[in-house]
Amino acid sequence: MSADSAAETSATETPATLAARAAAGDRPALSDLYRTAGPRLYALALAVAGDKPGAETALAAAFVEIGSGLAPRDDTWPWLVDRVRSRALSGRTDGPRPAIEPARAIERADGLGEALAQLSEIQRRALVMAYASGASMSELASQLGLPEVAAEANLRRALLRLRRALGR
Amino acid sequence: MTGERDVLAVLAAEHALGTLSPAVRQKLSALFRSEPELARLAAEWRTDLAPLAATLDPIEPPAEVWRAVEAALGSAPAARAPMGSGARNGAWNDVGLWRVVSLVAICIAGALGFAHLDQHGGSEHGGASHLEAAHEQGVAVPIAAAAAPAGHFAVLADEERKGALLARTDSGLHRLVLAPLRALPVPESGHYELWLVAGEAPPLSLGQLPPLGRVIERLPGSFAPGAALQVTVEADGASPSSRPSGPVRFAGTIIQIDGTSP
Repeated sequence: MSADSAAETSATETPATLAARAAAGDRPALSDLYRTAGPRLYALALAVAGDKPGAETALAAAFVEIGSGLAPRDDTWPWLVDRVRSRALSGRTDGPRPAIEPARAIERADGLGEALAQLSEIQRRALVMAYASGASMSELASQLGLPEVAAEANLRRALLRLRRALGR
Repeated sequence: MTGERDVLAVLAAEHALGTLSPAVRQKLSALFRSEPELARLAAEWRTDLAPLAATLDPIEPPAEVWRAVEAALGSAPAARAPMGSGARNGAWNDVGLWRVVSLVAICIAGALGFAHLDQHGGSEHGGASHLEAAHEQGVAVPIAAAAAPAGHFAVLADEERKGALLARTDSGLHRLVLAPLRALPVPESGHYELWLVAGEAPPLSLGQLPPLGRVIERLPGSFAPGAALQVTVEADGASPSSRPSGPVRFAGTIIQIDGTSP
């Protein structure tokens, strides 16, 4: 494939298709994936890790894994998102984090919007904050301004409602 | 009220989210081996929840992140790696870049012996067998990333800047372990030898390279950040105290990583 046609193709490709191609050894697809989805993944890594070194390492390590043929060929994109998040989580610090606005999840979370819209506002906040900030239960309680037991109850209700809405 | 399936689903979800206490998380992780349904549920949640990442506004990562990916994959731009004493100039002095490369290498090296070097006082046996297995297979085995360990690191790369070996010391600078990041070519004749090149002093031999995973004890005082590690091919039978005479095959600069704020 020529450079021109590769650029043309990548313009219409989603992170999911680019990730699948990158996992199959397509190096230009890996580069395109980084260029198009890297900033989104870095924002997640930074929000979860709380510091730049942890976020940079999480992002780079996941891309090296894909480029080394270590990523699954199926569902590579959600694997990548989770890989970046998990690595960022393992080195989590108390550092400053980008702002998280849970209401945005309804428009932005592909395929989850409808399910998220069925949650109460506090349930949605609990779920989105837990995911996007990597907060522990006590941190989540403090972010939500609730006692820990109430934060936990809201998160669990959110998870069950989401599960039903997804038909699981 | 919720049934047993719901309880399992919520536990699996909290495992995927990371909100469980470390003790509960550990117990649940252990259960994954005997309860594949629980592991399947957690994997399903990780896929289902991934779109939530889009809630955040994108942030452009620093340029060194992609450069580190390229360096680790051996697809860095054409700048040739300086060899011999030149291993300490140009991109090789880019401490930010090599810090990321080293952390990435630690994440994916599969060197369990590395991860536990401090805890177990140098796990020569378990670590070495694992490393040798990885070496034979020529693959990097992913491990769960712990918090970044403290110590001195160097990624030794070949002429094309492709990472070949990861060197790591314990935090007390007493031991050095080498792990392969990929299968290394066998020299046509002679053997690999590891050298420490510090300042203007003559290179100091740290011994023959194989077996990989071997722990080198009693590091010299000149083993410090900024010094270089080089691997040359030396003729069999040469004195280990002599100067390097063969070509440099792998080289890297020693950097220090602080475990608390890598």
